[in-house]
Amino acid sequence: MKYAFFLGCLIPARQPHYENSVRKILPELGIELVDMDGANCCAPFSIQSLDYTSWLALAARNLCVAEQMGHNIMALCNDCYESLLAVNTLLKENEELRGKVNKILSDVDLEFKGKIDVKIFSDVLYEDVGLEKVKDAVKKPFNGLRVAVQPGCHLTKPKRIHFEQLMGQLALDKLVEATGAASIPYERKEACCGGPLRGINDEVALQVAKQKLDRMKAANADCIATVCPFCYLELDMGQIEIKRHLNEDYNFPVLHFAELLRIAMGIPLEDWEVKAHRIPITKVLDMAEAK
Amino acid sequence: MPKAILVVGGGIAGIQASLDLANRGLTVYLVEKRPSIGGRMAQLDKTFPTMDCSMCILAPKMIECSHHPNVQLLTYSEVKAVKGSTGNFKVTVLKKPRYVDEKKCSGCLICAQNCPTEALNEFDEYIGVRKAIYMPFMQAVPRVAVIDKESCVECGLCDKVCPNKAVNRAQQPEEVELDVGAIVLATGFDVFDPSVIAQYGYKRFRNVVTAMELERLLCASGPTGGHLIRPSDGKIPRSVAFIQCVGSRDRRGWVGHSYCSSICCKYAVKDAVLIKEHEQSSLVTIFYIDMRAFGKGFQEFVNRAKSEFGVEFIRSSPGELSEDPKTNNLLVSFEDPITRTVQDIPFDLVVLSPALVPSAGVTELAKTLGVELDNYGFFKLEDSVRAPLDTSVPGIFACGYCVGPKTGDIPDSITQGSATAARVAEVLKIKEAS
Amino acid sequence: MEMIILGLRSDVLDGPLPWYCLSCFTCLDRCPQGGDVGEAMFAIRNITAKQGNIPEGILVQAQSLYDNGRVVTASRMAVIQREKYGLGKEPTVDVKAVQKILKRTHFDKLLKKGS
Repeated sequence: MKYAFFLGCLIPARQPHYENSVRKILPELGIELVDMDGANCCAPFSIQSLDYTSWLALAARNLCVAEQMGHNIMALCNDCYESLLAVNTLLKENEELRGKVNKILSDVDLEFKGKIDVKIFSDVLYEDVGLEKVKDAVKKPFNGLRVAVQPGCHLTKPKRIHFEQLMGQLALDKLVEATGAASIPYERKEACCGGPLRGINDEVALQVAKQKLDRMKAANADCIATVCPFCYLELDMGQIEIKRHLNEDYNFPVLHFAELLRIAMGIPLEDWEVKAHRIPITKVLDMAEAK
Repeated sequence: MPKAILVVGGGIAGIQASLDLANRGLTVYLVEKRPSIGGRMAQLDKTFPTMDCSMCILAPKMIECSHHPNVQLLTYSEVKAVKGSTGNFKVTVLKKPRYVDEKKCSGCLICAQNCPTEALNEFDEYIGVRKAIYMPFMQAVPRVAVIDKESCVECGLCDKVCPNKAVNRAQQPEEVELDVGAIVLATGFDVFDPSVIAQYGYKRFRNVVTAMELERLLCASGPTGGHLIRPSDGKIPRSVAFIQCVGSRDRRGWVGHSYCSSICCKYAVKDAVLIKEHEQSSLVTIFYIDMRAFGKGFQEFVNRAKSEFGVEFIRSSPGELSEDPKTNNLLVSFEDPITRTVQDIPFDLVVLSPALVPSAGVTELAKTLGVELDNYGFFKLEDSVRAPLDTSVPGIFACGYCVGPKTGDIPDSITQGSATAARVAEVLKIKEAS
Repeated sequence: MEMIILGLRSDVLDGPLPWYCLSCFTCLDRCPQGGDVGEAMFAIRNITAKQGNIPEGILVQAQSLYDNGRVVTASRMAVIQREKYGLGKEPTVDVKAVQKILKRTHFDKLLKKGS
């Protein structure tokens, strides 16, 4: 199965270890990633907040690039996913908006036709690879690792665009359990990490992150797994900042799910990748035991 | 042309329709999927606004049904197939096996006393337990025990101790063919499962219950003998919050229902007053959007609840509940309508008033009968002005909550039952004349 | 939302309040009226942005988007890591196309106003 690989801005620029893990594990699971040349920023909500039309046009440009490639898009970041999926759905359904956007896109010789779909990394694993295949690929399962999954706001909200129900387990939870770890329930799992307020109001952002971490602590989590690089940043870096400013220590290693799966598949993380985590992840690495 | 009518559903509407038709000299087959007739009314403690004991006003009608020479009860049965048209329907009804001989059982319940196995009691909304061989409830009609095969461990003790040798494990499902002139649907409602309204924590927080569960806790025949105690620790709740419109008046489309369920405001006020009667010192608060207490005596009842009983009314729909892990108390977060600030108030118990939805199995029944449903899943009425009791199939009529939440209270259901009986008689008379 | 209903226009548009929204969509998710609170927040921010009320953090992102086609560009460490560990250069962006689009939507004017 081929996917147009939409990396977004943050991951290749600041969290290349996430990209690296994805590139290492997906081919093993039968997914071929095709780079999207020339693709621009998805246009996340911060840009959407400045100008709606710019947001539509920028996202649409990426969708056109994928259409020309003839592949569906796989996004790694929640915000990219939400943006691209929302615009894709909007333009497919709303003729007036589509016309408006296509007028702008004609300047760059592109036309949105609504031919492709947008999926996020965890859904590609769940739907296209399937739990069975993922389980088979796991050579060093995590026995008894208690993972607090941070799905992130834009993975499952708003529900009228994302068709998954938060009742019962998310695909992401089931995938975590396929690695042998336990995806533990905790209070207000669907709550925001606080990331969007970084750079606007750091104090409040940290408060929100702290609330999240407190709830994970109350549920006895060992570590945190996420799909979104903003959640990753806010919860990983955030723990350091909370220690500094609010004097609270959690010691939760924060990993991208791709890394968790990679470790479970027996492909070890390289030194630089281990160091890319602010909170040391040694206890997670130790818990993966050969079958 | 057969002088018999089929009534599907043994709740108050179905019972009333059956009695009216039977009194006209028609034979009535009253089919009910549960092992006893009585429906929702049997589960209630008191009715609004008169505060009558629900079972006390229901039971005489149930007994009348069982004794009436023209009424034949087919309980624990379901309609499987229908052929024909007005005046001449051939209906196949499947009688599920009780594994107890109806003719021999005297209702003494020595079997249940000796049964070693327990299961959750559906009549008590799965709060209390019953035995694998059980009487659906004390006033069940027919007063015959039934075995829940799934929970039964086949120890045979009931068989040994029954003084009338009524246990019959070899019983098979039985198909009965009925010839009827018309069919009346009175399948009532089910309670919406509010766990999808995740922010209220139903099924996650122990002390969040539905109004129906509360009824069973308040009812003297319920699992706690009428003592209002809360699920987590059995303590008497000193503060109770009601949250209205959980799943009703919801326009999102992918969760809940857009209609107003019409009776929740009334029953919530009734339950609030009942709680105050049980425990005068308790704090009872109703969080509502609108107080829809229409009809004679209901607004007066609401006023009394405020002035005489001290029930608090807050016009605000709470944003979310959170649980204190040590006490299992709930913190209700809402916007105070007067100060316009977000407030959090702790409560010992929270009662949700969920939407009321068509009974389980209605979709299948509609298919079997060829009857149309509206977009909410209730039976569609042919014309609300010219034929307000007819379904889309001539000869099949519907009454009570199964046609939708226009039914305001129990007297409304009874009225509709009576009206349907009259309508049926009229239609059949016309058919006969032609 | 209350402020909007009450018509407190300047209170809403001139202050920092619209930018405190996390865009988490929980409001949209829960509103039983199907109210598009989240979308309304975006609309409000569009209006305040046009008036020049843009927080510094967002302005930086927006400027980077216009100049580089990305809201954030690779840190020095990332560039080194990418090359050293076989990830190759950061994927290329067609910056000209981005700028063409953003000029069309008057995004550049927005940036000038905000700074």
